[in-house]
Amino acid sequence: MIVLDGVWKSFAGAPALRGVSLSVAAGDAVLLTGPSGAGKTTLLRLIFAAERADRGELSVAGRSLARLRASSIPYVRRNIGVVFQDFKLLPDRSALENVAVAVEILDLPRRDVELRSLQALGAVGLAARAQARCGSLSGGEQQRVAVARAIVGEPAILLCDEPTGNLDPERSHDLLALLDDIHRRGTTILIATHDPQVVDFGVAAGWRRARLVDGELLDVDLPVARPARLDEETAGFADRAAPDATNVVRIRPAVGE
Amino acid sequence: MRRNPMIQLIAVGTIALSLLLVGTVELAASNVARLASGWGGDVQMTVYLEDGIAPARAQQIAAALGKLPGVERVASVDSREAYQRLRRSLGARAALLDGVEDSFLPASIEVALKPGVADVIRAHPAFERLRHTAGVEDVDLMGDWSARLRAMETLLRQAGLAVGLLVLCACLYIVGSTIRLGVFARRDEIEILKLVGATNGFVKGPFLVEGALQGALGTALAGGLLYGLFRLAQPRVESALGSLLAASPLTFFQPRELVLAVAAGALLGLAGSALALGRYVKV
Repeated sequence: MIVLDGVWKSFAGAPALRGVSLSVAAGDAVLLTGPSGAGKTTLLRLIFAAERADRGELSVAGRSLARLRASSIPYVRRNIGVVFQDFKLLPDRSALENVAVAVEILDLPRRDVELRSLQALGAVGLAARAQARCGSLSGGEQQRVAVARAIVGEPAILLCDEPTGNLDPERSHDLLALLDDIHRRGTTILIATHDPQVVDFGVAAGWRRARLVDGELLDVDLPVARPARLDEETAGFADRAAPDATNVVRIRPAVGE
Repeated sequence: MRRNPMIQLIAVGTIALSLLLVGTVELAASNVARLASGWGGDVQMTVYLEDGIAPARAQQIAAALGKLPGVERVASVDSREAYQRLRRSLGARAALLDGVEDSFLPASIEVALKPGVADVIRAHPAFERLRHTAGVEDVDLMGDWSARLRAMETLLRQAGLAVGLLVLCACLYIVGSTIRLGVFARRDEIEILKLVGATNGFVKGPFLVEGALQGALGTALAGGLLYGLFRLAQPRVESALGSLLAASPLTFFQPRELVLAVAAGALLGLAGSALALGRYVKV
């Protein structure tokens, strides 16, 4: 699904990534760990085509980004959902409107836009807060709105850049459980983090771990068996959070399978 | 446009005032052109005949004039026709001629000269000989007035062109600046749109429409203001120029011309917006 082969990227002569090679299969969940400034965000930005690699090969869903025309970038991004530490929501608009932004670009009828947006909010347990202004939501709720926006287009890949950075431990756990739920429904997930709580959760959930230090990929773990306890904790998260959310977002099979 | 109504109002108002200047010059030029045409601008010389001249002699003079090199055409105008023309030119004041004999005006021969001849004929000996020909009362070179009006029209159009170019640049700048402000105000939203996969066209579309609307509304407002000024000025100008305008009263632009102007304004706004977006919005 995501293949990096000897990728280099520099900014103003300073290398941010040094010959990174990483392969993420469809349906994988990968933790990208490392200290601040290690190159985690740069790697994510390369994957959703916000930057171009200076050297090396990078392909997403079988499509080489090095040879990608500028006019094709939007169509690549529609297959990738992105969640940021600072949520990147429009605070003066409602949760529904914020999620709808990702669907309006598809030129669908207004009714379908609203329906899909509501479904996505239901999947993250916020259907009841659809009309609330995002600025009035808690940090945890805002991040879940951001997740809803990221998955409303049913992307094959979900990228998260320090998603728990602005959340307390309890909300962080809820968010991680949501992401795990999304992963178990078939989405390929890549989470960049230096938060130990996220690392612990991910390891316990059987996610892979890739460690970046000073732009170099030092090691990549193989996936471990998923403990049954974690399945009990995270199963049906969306249903638990919103008992009446019968309209669950369909996570389509990853592209290439 | 809903988000920054004050900025939009200022932009539209500034465009309107700029175009008002261009419109005023163009309106003046078109009325001067019409006035020049209405005075029979192509008739450069009028030969007035003596009272009581025999019709045969009048025809002889007209025929001789028609054969002269430099003369394009001649037309005889008898007393009665001259009277009727005067009545028509007086318009609403034609009643002044009530009770006046329709033969009080002299017969005349109107002569249209070939291009360039009117400028030199005054100094030509033939012109003086014509004045002293039997049966001829006077010779008047009417082309002077028409030439002056044409010169004024040319000057106005040149001034209009120069002002128009300046106004064009100003309007492009105004629209571009307003659009850039709008892009800056919506930079967060634009960033999110790019992240979720919006195309350049999707992001730029609303701004292009905004620019076109600014141009169209500004032009329409300019047209409205100009019409208001025209209605205010028309009675004063016509009163000052009197019978000079009787045959060619002042007129405003035709509806078709106004529609074309608004369409051109919309294109101007669209161009200004596209120029501003080209540099500032890229996926």
